[in-house]
Amino acid sequence: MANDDNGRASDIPNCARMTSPLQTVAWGESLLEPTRDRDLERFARQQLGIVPPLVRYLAPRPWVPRALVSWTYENGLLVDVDPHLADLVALVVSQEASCRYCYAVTRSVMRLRGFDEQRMHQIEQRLRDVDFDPRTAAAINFARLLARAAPLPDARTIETLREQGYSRLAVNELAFIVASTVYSNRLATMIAISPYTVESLPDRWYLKLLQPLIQRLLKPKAGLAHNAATAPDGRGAPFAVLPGAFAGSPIASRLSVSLDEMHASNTLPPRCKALMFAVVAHALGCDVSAENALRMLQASDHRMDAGRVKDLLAHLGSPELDAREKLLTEFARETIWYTPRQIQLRARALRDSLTPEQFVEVVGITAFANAVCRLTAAVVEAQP
Amino acid sequence: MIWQALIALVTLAAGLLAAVVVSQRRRIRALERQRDAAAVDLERLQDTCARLAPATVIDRLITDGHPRDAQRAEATVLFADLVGYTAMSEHLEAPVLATVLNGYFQHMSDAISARRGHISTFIGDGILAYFGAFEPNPWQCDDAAHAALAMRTALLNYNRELSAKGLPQLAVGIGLHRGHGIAGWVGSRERMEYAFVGRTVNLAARVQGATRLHGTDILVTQSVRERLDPQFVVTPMPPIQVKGIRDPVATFALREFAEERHAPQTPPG
Repeated sequence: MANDDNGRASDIPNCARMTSPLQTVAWGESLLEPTRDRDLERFARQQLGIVPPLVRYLAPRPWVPRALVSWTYENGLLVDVDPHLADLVALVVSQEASCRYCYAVTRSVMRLRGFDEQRMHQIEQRLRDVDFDPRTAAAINFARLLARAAPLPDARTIETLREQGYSRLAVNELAFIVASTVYSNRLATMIAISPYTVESLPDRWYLKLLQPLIQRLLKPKAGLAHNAATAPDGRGAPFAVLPGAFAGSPIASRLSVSLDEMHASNTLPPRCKALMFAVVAHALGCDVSAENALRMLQASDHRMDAGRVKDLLAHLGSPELDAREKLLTEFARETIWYTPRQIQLRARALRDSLTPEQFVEVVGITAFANAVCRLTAAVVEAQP
Repeated sequence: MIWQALIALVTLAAGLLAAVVVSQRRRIRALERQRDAAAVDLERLQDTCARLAPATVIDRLITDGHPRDAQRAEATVLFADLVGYTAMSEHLEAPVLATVLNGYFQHMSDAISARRGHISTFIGDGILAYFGAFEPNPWQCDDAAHAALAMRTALLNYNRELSAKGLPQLAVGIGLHRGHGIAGWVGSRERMEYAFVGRTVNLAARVQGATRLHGTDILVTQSVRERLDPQFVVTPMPPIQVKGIRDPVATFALREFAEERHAPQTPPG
């Protein structure tokens, strides 16, 4: 017997209770097979102590899983945001994206950290009813708006957070948690990594036995503020304005490295990558991201002036795009708002026309663009 | 004696452990079977629900547990209506008429969905569909115009099927208009639908009606025309007077999407 949310005895067996709201989301067969990359796994172990399953699926393009690992917010990146609030935000964002895998990961980590099933049900009920104190509710509302991006949060949303006592750094950290979850959501959903094992993980008897040890392993690390402050620089590499906005936070260097690795990746032509960024920025309606995407485009093709790019983005069927660019820009637009089943079907069709390296690169670039453009909108464009 | 008892205990413990492991594995296998069966049922249910509202809306309704608030949106509305349906309905037996209509709706729905449109409702022989009503879509006019052209092609193919069966051919009028409205759940407690409400919908219906007047099959308004890809070929038509709107409404006949008009430049990389 187990107690229900109201404390009443319930005869629902435990196996039937290991549910989450996202277990009703239709999910396809995985699009990729896991592969081993010793350097990559060593990097993940150094950073996190474990190798997350998603890392092995994305190994063909190491910068993609490296960014995933580097952006893990529990790993000493948060200075001003409480770890429990961070988990709530990650849950909300995964719920918005209907990402069964990431939702299950966050939920399972919370369970293994000591939240029992009943407590998780209560939290999920409160998330549904937005039944939180005003300070937490403001953070959750901001996370929802940024993840949903229809439209993006504006200066008023940021002001509401500041009125609730969040510092500028805390607001930026909240935005970073959203962005890192948006990134992992899209990666996991596009390749349809199986969520089933993770969903039932906390109920495995051996993990229950080892829970005290796992709790210590999964304990979030607090971040330390850096004294050295870097002034935001909009004139550096495209999107260099982002690390600048996190001056003094450990997040700045993680963003900087991930952006450099993404720019340096040469599996796809730079113009192709820049076009995918430009499509995401244009659809999201973030002007600062659009300017940075334009700079990416101009760096790859000097003929690309602002007017030409505007015309090109106004109608994606432009004859200026070659066949591959048309295919990838069409795919990029599908990654902004989607249902898992739809995007997985489109990703499957795309995978069949690309090499595994190119496919992971496209998945990585589109997921990265969605995360980076949302983050730019929140920490640069919407700042009052 | 003690050794024998110890061995017996260890054997018993090992046996118990093995039994637990076997039982756990069976339980996991049973759960996996249940999960797979549930996944199939779920997919069927979601396919059914997707006919009532956009898939993203259904997903959010399931995860949130309650409908979200309505919101203002700018959308492109497509209104399509069969030409000569009344006359045809008088000549065909009811089951044949229903088969012809269902085939028509299916072909049109496929053309609209393939271009990211959402069919709101079938009104008699009419179809009401939206582009960009439920999530922002800066390319909504292009999507809607492509959908209208795809409907024309689909109807051409369907007419061949009908002709082969000795059935009358169908003709359609399509109106497109872009404007503001409210997107959200509307209806009574007993019956609700996810819809886009506002004058934009009425105007699209009026423009559709004008296709007969102008002897064309697809008409778009100025608000659509100004956001269309220049590769769409349109012809200006005489403005129409619409009830409730003071000035005449400019309309354009949509001819084709001329992909070959511009020679593609050398692809980079």
